Amino acid sequence: MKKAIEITDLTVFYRDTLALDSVSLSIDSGKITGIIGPNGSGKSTLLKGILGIIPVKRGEVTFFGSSLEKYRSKIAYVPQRESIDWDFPITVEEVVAMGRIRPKKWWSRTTLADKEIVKETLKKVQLSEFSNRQIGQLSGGQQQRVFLARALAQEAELIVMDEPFVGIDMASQESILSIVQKLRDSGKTVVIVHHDLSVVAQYFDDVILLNKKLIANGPIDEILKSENIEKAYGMTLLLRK
Amino acid sequence: MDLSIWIVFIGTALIGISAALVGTFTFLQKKSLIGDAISHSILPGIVLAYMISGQRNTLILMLGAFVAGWLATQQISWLQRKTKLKSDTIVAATLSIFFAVGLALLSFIQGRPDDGQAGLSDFLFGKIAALNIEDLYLFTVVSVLIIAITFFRYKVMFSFAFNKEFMISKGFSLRWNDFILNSMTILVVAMGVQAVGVVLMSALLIIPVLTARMLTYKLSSLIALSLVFGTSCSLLGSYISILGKNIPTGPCIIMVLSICAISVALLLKIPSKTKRTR
Repeated sequence: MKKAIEITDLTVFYRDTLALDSVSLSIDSGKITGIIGPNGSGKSTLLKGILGIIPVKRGEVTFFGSSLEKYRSKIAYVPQRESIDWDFPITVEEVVAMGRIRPKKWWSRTTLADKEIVKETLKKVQLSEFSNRQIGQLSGGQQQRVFLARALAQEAELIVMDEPFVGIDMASQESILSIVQKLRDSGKTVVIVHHDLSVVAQYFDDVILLNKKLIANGPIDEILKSENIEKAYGMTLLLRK
Repeated sequence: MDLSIWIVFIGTALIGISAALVGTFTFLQKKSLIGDAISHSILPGIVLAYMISGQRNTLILMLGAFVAGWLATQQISWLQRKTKLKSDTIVAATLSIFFAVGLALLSFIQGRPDDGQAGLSDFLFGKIAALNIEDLYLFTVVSVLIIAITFFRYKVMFSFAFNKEFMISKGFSLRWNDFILNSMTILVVAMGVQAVGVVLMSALLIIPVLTARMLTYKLSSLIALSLVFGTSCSLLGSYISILGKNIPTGPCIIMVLSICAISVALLLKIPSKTKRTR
């Protein structure tokens, strides 16, 4: 199995606080991989660290054997809901069109082809009729689908999603999961940060358990053994089905 | 109408246009206070440039303003990176320190016998009537530059304002984006203080866009409406200030802008489009 992401000794500090402690792991390509751990376990930090959004203390990350700089254009990042200002004067269509902006261009304009892609991705996530709405006017599930649409518009090989299932209804959860599975089936790699091992985790192929350190990493069935979960959460309770 | 009136009106229009454009993006970036910090911070730059060059040449004064404004933004971002202080504390402290130095320098040259301070105190509240034709050329160059940068980069600046983490993940440089926006802000402030003065300059950046924001949630209309409000209110304000002999331009423009903003707010009663409806 080809490795989509290989992380060696990734260590991240937030000012003086250790957020990630020498994490080394690899993520297979063509799979849905869940990164799971309790609050404050460094899941989002891991994503932001490997994508260069926050500075890392040390560590190395490669994407399909290349550096981040070389591979960046093939990565789509879906940020956490909380990081978005839902009152911002931006429409659904404009959010999705962000997926088509390219760096290193002195003039950032939208081509006709870009517009066509935006239109099609909106159709894929069933939001065409909302394209001119301000994003705050949508439901939680619709909002999450807008950001998934932006990732689709990037036509990326690697899709990285930070807590996409928080605060959304069942129907949206289903629809996001089905899109994610379609992506996987067409050979893309999907990485999803999620906070527990309840329902959605069953859709993951591989799971990474994280609590500042790497606790376990492997296929979902193996990982669900309780000792790993205890190590990650520090208690026996777990939301297994 | 004679030439000097035309100079005043064209100068005011250029300031209004540039301030409305730049103000829209600082507002979207939630950096409205930076405009205030920059406008207060450029005072020592203006006075020092005058003291060194010995003449009231707009280009030289703007150069001094640019350097001081740039130092202030560097200090702000340096402190934000290196300390745990909240950013409003840092901005407020920077603003007061630079402004204090500016005022001290200003009263120092006021005390000197040689120059009668060359009308430098006009920079406090603005005096649009002091503009001459060379100033106008300079203003045109600066405005064209600002309009061009906005035209080519508005999508990137807008996207950064909305979701900077996404833009960084795509490989856009946050520092470069901040640098461009800060430079545009400094330029427009350095130009605008001649009309409205350092004390009120930030209002000229903020009020047009916040008035527009009450009426729309679309970027294109937001920019268009800010331009309309910013330019028309600046023109009306400077006209009033010329009519009344001794009224400084700044307060006139800002009062017209405020009346405009309040009227829009009242007309809308509760501005429904800025609120989320669920």
